[in-house]
Amino acid sequence: MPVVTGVVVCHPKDFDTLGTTLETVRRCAPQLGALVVISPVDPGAALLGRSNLLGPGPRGSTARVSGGAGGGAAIWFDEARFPFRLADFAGCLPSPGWVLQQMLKLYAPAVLGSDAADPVLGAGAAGPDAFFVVVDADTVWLQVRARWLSLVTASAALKPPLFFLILIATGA
Amino acid sequence: MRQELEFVSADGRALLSTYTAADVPPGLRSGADLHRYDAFVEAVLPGLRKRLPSLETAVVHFSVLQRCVADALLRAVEEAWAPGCGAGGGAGGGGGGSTSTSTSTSSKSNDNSNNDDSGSESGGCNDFSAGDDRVPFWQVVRALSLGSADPAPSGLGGRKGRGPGSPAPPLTPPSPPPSPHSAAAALAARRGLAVSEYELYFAFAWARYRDRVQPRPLAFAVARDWAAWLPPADSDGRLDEEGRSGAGGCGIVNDGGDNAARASTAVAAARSRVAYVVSHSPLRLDGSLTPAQLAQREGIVNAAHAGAGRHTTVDDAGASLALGAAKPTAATGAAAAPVAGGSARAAAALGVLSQRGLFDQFL
Repeated sequence: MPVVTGVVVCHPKDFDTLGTTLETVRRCAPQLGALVVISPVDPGAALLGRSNLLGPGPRGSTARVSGGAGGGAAIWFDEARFPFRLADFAGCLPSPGWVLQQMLKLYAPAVLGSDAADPVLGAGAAGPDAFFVVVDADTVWLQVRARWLSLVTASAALKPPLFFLILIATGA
Repeated sequence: MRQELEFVSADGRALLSTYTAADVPPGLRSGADLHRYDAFVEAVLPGLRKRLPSLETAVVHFSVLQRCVADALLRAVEEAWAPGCGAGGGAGGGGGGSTSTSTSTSSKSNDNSNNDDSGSESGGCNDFSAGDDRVPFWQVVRALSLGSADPAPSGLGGRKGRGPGSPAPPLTPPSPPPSPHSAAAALAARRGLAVSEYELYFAFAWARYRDRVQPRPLAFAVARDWAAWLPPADSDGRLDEEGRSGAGGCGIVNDGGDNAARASTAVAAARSRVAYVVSHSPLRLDGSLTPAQLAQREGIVNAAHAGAGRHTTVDDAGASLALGAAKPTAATGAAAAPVAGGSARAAAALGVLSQRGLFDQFL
């Protein structure tokens, strides 16, 4: 299977949700390899000060978030290493940052994959078939339950009569 | 008991989510995304169109990019907008993967992100700085966003090519092929286009690399109080083995009222059928939004894709309890249970009962 890298492009205004985004996407998709946070500043300090999600804490330019099945490390990648900057999008609507973030996402496979001098991704993650799961920094991922369990728990959470009705209807 | 969320299929296809007009609750502002970016997609790469213009959108707050496809997208746009390529040569939607072969060289490193003097290899898969005769992709997008043919109207040429303050030569848009949407796209381009990376990527991948992608709609909620959607926490506030987040996690410490919201059975029911929650910063941070305004912004998209059922708004699901919303309606249980993944038989039965209001007796 090709290597799948998680990418979160994050403006500091979303640092309050970033920790949960990282942790939940890691939990829901343990097949992801590295999780890369692209932002203008190191999110490590923000995460450290706002949550108990951090493990070892910021290490150089790398913020590490604990709890992931695959080790949980989240790597900060400075958006200054992209071939454009926020000021380049002055005048763009609805805001320059809006368009900047979009460009960061679309350029992420090329830029992260070509970071030969300071390898961010492991072998295989930069190849032509490598995948990059780009998720917004304001998303929270909920683990998908097995279908039958979802049905049972959802109905049980409502009213017992409904629960039994579903059991009858499904022949369970 | 829980399933992993796959982003790549077993046969190596990127699983991309979209939603259609039928998958948006009436009145939810997310419906505007269905058509908002149509003109941009057509303008940035002539000949390219969304799979279902005005009826479907890929703006679902995530995407699965494959490097060779992303590289091909950037290159195709740059080639289409290169001086002398005014006819949009090679950029038309009928390319049928004509650029895909060159992506095979993408394993070659090309670390030129900070090197102003770097010479890009024409046709290189990671040629994100563009060549001398090509306008970088991002400048094309900027020009379209600004509604100007000038790629650097702000006088900023970026780190590549022209330095700040240096006027850039006009960017000549490629001539689009005849299309019923071209006139609208051209008109919108003069005003400045709303741009979307997700729309563009999905449209391109679907048009050129259909064998590498697989549509897979995921249900998601748009909500202000995203923490209310997290299952109850364990004592120390960390994610437990079930992936649940702590009350103190991420700096979001809910008071008793919010914890009560978390315990809401309606939220629990809705939670089981959405894959993720998106909480835009304007929605999270703007405390002035009225309940009516929130009702236009909060909701569940793609809820019906798990099976038969009908759309349920967040208000229905009780996820707005942080705002003191009313108790869930009968529709909550009616829609949530079947969509959560039950059999078609159960879904059909519950749907009928729901439509007849028979769940009121249970709720």
